[in-house]
Amino acid sequence: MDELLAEMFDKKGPALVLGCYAKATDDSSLERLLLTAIHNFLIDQAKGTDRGKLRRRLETLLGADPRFTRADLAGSPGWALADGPCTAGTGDAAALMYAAFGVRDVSITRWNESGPTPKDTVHALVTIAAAVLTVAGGAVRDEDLARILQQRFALLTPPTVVSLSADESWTEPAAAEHERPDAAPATPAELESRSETVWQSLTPTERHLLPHLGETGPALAVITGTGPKQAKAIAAAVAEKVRLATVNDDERDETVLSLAERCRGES
Amino acid sequence: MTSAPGDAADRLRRALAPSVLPARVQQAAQTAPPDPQPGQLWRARWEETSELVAVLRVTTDAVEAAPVTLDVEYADNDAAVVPAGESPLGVDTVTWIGLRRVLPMTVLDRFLGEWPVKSLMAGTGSVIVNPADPRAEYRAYLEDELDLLAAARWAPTGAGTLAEELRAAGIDPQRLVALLDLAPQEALALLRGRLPVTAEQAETLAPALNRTVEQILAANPAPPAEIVSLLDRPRRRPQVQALARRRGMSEVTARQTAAFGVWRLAARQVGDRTEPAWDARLERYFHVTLNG
Repeated sequence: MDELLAEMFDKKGPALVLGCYAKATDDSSLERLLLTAIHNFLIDQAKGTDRGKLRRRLETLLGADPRFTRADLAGSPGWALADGPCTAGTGDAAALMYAAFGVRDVSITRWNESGPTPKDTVHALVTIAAAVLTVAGGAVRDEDLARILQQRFALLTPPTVVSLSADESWTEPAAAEHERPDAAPATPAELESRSETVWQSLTPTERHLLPHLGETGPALAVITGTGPKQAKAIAAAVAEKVRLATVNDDERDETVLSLAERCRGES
Repeated sequence: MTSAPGDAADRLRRALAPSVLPARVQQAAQTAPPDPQPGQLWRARWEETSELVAVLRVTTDAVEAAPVTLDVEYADNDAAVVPAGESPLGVDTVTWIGLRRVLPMTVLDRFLGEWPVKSLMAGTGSVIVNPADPRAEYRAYLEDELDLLAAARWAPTGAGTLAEELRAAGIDPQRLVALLDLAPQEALALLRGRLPVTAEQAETLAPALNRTVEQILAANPAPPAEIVSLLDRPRRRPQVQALARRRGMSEVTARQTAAFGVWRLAARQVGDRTEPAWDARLERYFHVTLNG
């Protein structure tokens, strides 16, 4: 507990005190502000831990791939393309993010906690990393590359936002050890398994929202308990997460339907 | 708490040490709120909504303001990040220039000091390229907050048809004086549409007008614009809040009570032909109400 508190006040202390002082209007609003600050800090910690895991995964994957090489960026470790410069790339953060989101035909729906990374996940990570490094025109810090990949594969990103939609941290989906050997239509059990994987990655709020994605902001706001614009933003994020998670799924419609049914059953 | 340097408890103590408010923020909060000017930081508050805003422009009854937050990791390319060393708050801040809005002056609640609006440069954060980016939700949250602040109103608009209805029902000044126990000046002001009736008075009038209390209250005239404008000023807000606390009412009701109280008293004392000195009357009203 001391460690956690020290970490929180070390990173957030002045802003936390100032934020509470400036925005709290009574006891209950102070309580809400403090709880939100602590909650968001815990989510940030979880996100950092996930990014750490991703960095270690990249270490293994890119280190074993001859297309990539290590770079030293003023003391920070980075990655570069083996046939390109190893000095810091010139692409700005937005350009790198555009490059990551510009690659559309890869996805991550499976992620092993330990053991070998599933083949399609390796392909997805390596493809996006190569696209980012190409646009960078040089090396990119480990931390920055992991952050971009974390955002690109929204399933890896825990929900974080200030207010309160962030009601649980992301946990890695359970491993699906066996890939389907051929392109035969998915069995109901397989469809259910795929939708289960996506379902696990959504927060309770997102699950409630999913069957209602086409509705208006005010209608969505009733479900999320937020303002209408925030509700629309959460809905757009859910749609994008599901899209990214199923982009390579031949039976995408069936998977999404199965997911919607599951979410509707939870509501 | 005893601890070795570098351990968690020591880090906790060291981390807490700078967690004090900057002197200029404390000082600003302890002085009477000034009139809003560009280049100031305020807390904007309306009911449950509370956000920091930087004032960019001021008109008679409104300000153009941009939200200010302390969560720099959510800044996008539309926002200006001010590092702790350059921020009057002493911590990293974000001024969301792209989300600036016209807000009624009535939402300005607590003055927090000067703000370097002239040197703000948007574009320090990166572009939001995907709806799954958490910053998209954060931005939308702020937009909702500003929508609520921008819509803040307390003064009843009132249809202003009450005088007409009283005359149509054949109610003259003498009858009004008898019915509502009014001073003659008040009765005249009511019949000229320059004064509203209270809920109790509306109850008395309801049978005579063949209207419900709600219909009569909706037909009230709106309070004079100058009273509304003066009560919107931040320097009146501490008095409004004190009145709300004292009477156990909301701030909105406290403002309405003050506006109608001053308006009614002026009608009784000077009638409706002289434009009263509203600011001085408000000052007296609060002095008597809060100290009486």
